[in-house]
Amino acid sequence: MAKKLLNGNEAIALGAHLAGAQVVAGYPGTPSTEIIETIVREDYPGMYAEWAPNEKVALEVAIGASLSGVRAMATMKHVGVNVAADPLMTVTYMGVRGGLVIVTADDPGMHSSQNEQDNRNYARFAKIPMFEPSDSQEAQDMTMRAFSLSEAYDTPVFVRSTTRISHTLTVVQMGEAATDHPERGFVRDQKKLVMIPANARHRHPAVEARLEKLTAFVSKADDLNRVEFRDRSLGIITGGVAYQYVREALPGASVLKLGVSYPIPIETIRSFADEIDRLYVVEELDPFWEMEIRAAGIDVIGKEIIPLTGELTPDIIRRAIAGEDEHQAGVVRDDTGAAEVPGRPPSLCPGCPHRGVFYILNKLNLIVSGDIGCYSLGVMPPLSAMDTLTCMGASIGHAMGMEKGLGADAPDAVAVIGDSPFLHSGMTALADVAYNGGRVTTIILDNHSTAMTGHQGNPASGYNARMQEVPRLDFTAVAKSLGIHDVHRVDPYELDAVERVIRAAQKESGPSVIVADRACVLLDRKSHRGHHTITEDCAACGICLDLGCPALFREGADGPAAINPALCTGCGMCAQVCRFDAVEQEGERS
Amino acid sequence: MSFRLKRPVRDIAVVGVGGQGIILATDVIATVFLEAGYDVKKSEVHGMAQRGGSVQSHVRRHPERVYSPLIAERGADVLVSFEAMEALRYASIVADDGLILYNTLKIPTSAMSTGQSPYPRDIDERLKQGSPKVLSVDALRLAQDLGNLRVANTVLVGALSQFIDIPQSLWGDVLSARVPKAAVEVNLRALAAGREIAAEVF
Repeated sequence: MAKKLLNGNEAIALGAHLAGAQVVAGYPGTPSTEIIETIVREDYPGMYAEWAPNEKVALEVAIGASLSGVRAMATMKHVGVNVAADPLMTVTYMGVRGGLVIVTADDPGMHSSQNEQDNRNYARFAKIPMFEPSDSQEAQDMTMRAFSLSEAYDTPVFVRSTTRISHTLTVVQMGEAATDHPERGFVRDQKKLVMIPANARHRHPAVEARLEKLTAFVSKADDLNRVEFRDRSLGIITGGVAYQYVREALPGASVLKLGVSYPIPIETIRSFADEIDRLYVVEELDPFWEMEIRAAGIDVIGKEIIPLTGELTPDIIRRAIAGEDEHQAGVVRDDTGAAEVPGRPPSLCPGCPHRGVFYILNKLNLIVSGDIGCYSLGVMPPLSAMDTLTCMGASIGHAMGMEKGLGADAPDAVAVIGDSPFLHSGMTALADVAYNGGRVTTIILDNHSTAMTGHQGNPASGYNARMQEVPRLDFTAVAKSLGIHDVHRVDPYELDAVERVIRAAQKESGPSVIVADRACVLLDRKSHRGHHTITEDCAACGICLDLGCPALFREGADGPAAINPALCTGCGMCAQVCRFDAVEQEGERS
Repeated sequence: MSFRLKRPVRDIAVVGVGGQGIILATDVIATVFLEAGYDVKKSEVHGMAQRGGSVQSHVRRHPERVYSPLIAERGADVLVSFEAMEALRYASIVADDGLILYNTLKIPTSAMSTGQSPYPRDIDERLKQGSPKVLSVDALRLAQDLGNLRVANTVLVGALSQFIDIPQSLWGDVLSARVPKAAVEVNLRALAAGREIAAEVF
């Protein structure tokens, strides 16, 4: 079989396919999204894949599938496991029928996340094993292995990836399809599957006994936890992508590579330590292994010299352990002045429908609680119209709390939330607003897709994971049935209408919902209306630049505005804000 | 013939602005390496940074085994930048005897568009103060000459290919498999145009 270049996510998808997984559910989130996208693209036979509204639902679907006797997988980014933690912490008591694998894709360095929590902690918390691949080959192989282990030990199993595993292409030799499939069919077992207290009390000891067996298993799994003896004066315990960095930075060092992050093989570690003069543990983020190793009385150097935050790199490891000079250690080359290069933060795209809402919110100077999505970029200047951002779905609850905290005289709080986050976990907060007498103005930025992660479908997008047409959930009907009576729909390209409707919502004594309804400009290219140009009437006032549109620029420091025709989509917002009628439409709407 | 790289090109950093097509270009480079029989790793960044932010992707090859997906500081044999200022930002990744190959295209940041700060001048001079060789390419103009602005990236990949000991035919085959059928012809011409530009200095 030919070798292929796959990223870690594609390899996990392939591993699940080879293992015969039949049901996969996930919620999109960088760096996990491509697992389900790969399953759909490759159209693996007999494999059902769905985008669930959130990670909790995704895991619950996967648990149900496992109980029906098929192999099942749930995929999510690290913070998604927080959402799925409730079913997670009890399915560990219930166990599985078909193999159940949970993929957590962590994001050290926060390339695209609000925090960099180390989800190895969830394995210890839930008392279930966690595989940790260090390249795509291992991602494929370990995913297959995880399904078998899940069935053999009657336990859910984690596969943990990180951004550098998920988003690195490495060479993969495709494995052979597994033949050890479970038998389909639900088997009633209420004592094991109905977790009323009387039953759950019997299951907890089973969890502890299982963990002991798993610990015994990993102690013997030399293929997963691999000892590589080289120079015995220097030894490194490591795993995941950090293994690759260690091999790169310290090619002569002996290595104990942990392929299972939890439970760890303490006796294997002890005998490795006995052979080594200077022993280090090199792990990204938390001292997860280090604490267990020290607790076992083994002397090791770790977080004293290895950073606790951010991603590791070969340079960091080389500097920390080999103590090489600055030239090697990654000091920015000063001869080109690279350190002085102006920053290039991301921004909302030209023609982005979110821009209209944030422009008006900035103008009205309201307190705005934000949410997770492309529109988080509404915090960037010149729009600067976001004051809080915590996690998926948090905006509405934050606005409610702020309103109650600030008191009756304060203006109504504003929450902005995307279509997908609203369905993920915003709806319950909106019910809270209606139920407990809030006045919050909730703006649902409905761009008809989960755009930031690559336009995945959601229950309001009109298409599913397989891009099949499905009915669209109606936000106005949902808002009304949750108890919000003042509900509006507005085209965010129409700035006057946006301003009018927000002002009206603020005056309304009760809570309001505004659906800013327009498809993502990248999704709906048919909506592009040619491009605009600036005429000689431009007075160089710069007001159009307050839109923060990448297609608009100023010629010279104080010169007139101009439009980059290659970027402009003809949304016309600049024409609406111009006071000198100096923006003209060129080209017809196609 | 003004210079030749002292060693085989193994580690390539490709940088630019989100949305410029860096993922496709590095896919082509990585696939060429794989088909030429090397172990390959390619790292990339997805998600929010794609919305017009500064992005980088590393491609590494080795006859036996590539370990780290990330290239160390001063470890890259070639830095290919799709945008002028981004070349300056990532210049420190290039080895002293390496090459900086950059597109003269200037994409202003939002602060620059609104006149708050100027686009840096003297990029070429500043790059040339460093030890690595510097080659600038007006890829957009070359693409324009070929009648398709979208092949600017292919021009740059073509220029890069001139410094790599793998036959042009393989680059052409891999590229042809990756672009729409109607665009194969113009992409092959862009690849050749890029090679030609680089050949002038090689």
